[in-house]
Amino acid sequence: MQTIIEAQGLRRSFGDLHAVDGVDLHIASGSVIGLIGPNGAGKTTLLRALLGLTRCEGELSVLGYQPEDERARMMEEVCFIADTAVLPRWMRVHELLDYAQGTHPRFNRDQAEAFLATTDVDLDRRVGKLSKGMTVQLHLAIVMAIDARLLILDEPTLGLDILFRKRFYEQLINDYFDGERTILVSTHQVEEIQHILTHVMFMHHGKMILHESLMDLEERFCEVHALGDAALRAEELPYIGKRNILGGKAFIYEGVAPAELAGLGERRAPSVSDLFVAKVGG
Amino acid sequence: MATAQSPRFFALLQREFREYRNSLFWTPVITAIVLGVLMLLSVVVANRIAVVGDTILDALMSEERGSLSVSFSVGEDGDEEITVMHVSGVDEDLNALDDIAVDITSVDATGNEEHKRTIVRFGDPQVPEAPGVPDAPTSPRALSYELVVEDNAEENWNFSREWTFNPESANGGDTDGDASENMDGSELNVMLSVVHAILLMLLLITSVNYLLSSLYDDRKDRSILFWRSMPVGEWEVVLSKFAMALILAPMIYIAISLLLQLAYVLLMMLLVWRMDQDPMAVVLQNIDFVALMVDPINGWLMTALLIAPTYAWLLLASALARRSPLLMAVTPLIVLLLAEGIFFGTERIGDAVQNHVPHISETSAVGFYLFGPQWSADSVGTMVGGLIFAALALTATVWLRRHRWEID
Repeated sequence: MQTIIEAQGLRRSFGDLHAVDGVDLHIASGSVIGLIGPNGAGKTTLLRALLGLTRCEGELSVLGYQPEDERARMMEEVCFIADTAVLPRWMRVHELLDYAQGTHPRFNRDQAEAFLATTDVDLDRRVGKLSKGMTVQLHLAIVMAIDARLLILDEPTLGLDILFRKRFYEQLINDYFDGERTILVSTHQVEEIQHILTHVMFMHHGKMILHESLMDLEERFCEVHALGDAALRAEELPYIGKRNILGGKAFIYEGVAPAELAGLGERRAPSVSDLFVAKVGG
Repeated sequence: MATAQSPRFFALLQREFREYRNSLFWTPVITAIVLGVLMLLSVVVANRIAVVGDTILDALMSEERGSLSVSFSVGEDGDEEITVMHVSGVDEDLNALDDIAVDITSVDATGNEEHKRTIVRFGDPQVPEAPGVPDAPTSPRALSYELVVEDNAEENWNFSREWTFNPESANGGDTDGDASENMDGSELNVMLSVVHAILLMLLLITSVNYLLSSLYDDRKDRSILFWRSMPVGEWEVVLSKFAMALILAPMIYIAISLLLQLAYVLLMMLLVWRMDQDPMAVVLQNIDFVALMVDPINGWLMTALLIAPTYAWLLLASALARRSPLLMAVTPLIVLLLAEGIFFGTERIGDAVQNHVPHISETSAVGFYLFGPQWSADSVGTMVGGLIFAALALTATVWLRRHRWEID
């Protein structure tokens, strides 16, 4: 377990807007972290700061590099997919591979071509002529052929249909993730990636409001489906979120002992999305 | 480390070339093909020698504008020897003069009569006479004189073919103003340089366009996020674009220009051959091939040193612009020029800029050397100052790429 990202008091402001407002991070290798937050929470700014794409205050070390000053060297071991639209549209697929081969010392072209052979992406096509889904597959092919230690994904599947999204994350976990690498992904579609995550981070108004492993999450949070009268009793306990369900209410409790919740109703681990709504919206 | 760096820089240059291959490669190639086909058509299709032939003959004579050119053709008609002398120049009045015919009958000591007829024609010959029998004057208003000369004419003129004579030889269009050389076997180089100049103009236009868009387009379409996800430093990116515009693109254009010029030489030989003249003597002996190869390269190296700050400035504008790189490049200059003129009444900035922008003024073509370097007194200072400016502008460009790359 190595420390991949270490940050203390990261801050980035645009005028009055505090996009990142005092974030502390400690991310170890071998984790798959979901960065979840509403629009404008500062996710993109945080990820860009980690990549050295934007200046920020505070202490930051990624793989032992100072991202802003040593970005070029750092990017030999860090991969980044911003979103579907950042591959150069004028380039042909094989030209893009030429470029990666020429500039990236850890890029394995054969691997990328082997991956692309399983898709509909034609090596002679221009990127601009590819569909959104194929563009993402192409980007994924390039990233998977790079032997990197950290992969940062910023809304990588935005605008893709569900089949592409599912396939994207399946390939990511089955073919790329090896237990050593670290993947940090920001997304809105929490439910779809919940099963592949080891950690979640909630971000709201530039602050990190939750950073927990999924295992700890289950111990710390509990959801109770209280039906009928039980709902009234359940409401008296300090819950962090509630929502209506068929015939009663569902409550999410933080740090409440299981014994106290006994008899209120069916207990289960809250889904990440429900927890997110409870923490941010509730 | 060096071995790892060079293919890497090659990959960056290859990327640049691929993105702009239309303007960096296909534009000059297609232009060259069009120019070549035009030349070919004039040689093959034209029954008369017409414009192209005249141009080549003019070039052969290194005619400078405003000077006279005189050409003779001599033939015999029976026992009469006829000499036609063409006089032409840019002066319209001169070209409008009527023909003058002088018949000379000379009687030598033994009493033999010899008839000579000399016709002076003004203006460009529409149909150049084939060597042999020149036409008699056709103009009804032609003046005609007859002279009878008795002397012992000893000189026997023997013209086997047309020859030309020009009182002044000048390298028209040559920027170094070195007009003192006479016929030195490079007359056709001047004409070929026109071809080269066309391609260089094209190069400048495409280079400016390339520089202005190269650090703007990727920010606009957000592909910069991909480029910056690769382990490539901003210095490498900026320098690869700079090198592309300053060295590689000119090399491509010069190579294409040389090929085109070679094609022109071959076509000229074909043309001259059709004029029943000896291609070797008329064409090849009038071309200095070494100069043809070396001059464009020399000329560009010199130009590159002077134009470097301009190119660096264009890159800076491209990296800085949020909407229009062109306006970003031009507006600050205009403001500075006006401010200097209003507050100080001087033109130092204007002069400084002028020294690094290719242009042709009355005295020289500053910063634009078609034919190799020419050092004037302040060139070194100008050049060094310019290079320092270029270095500063590139540094600023790299900084902008690192910290101010987002368009909105």
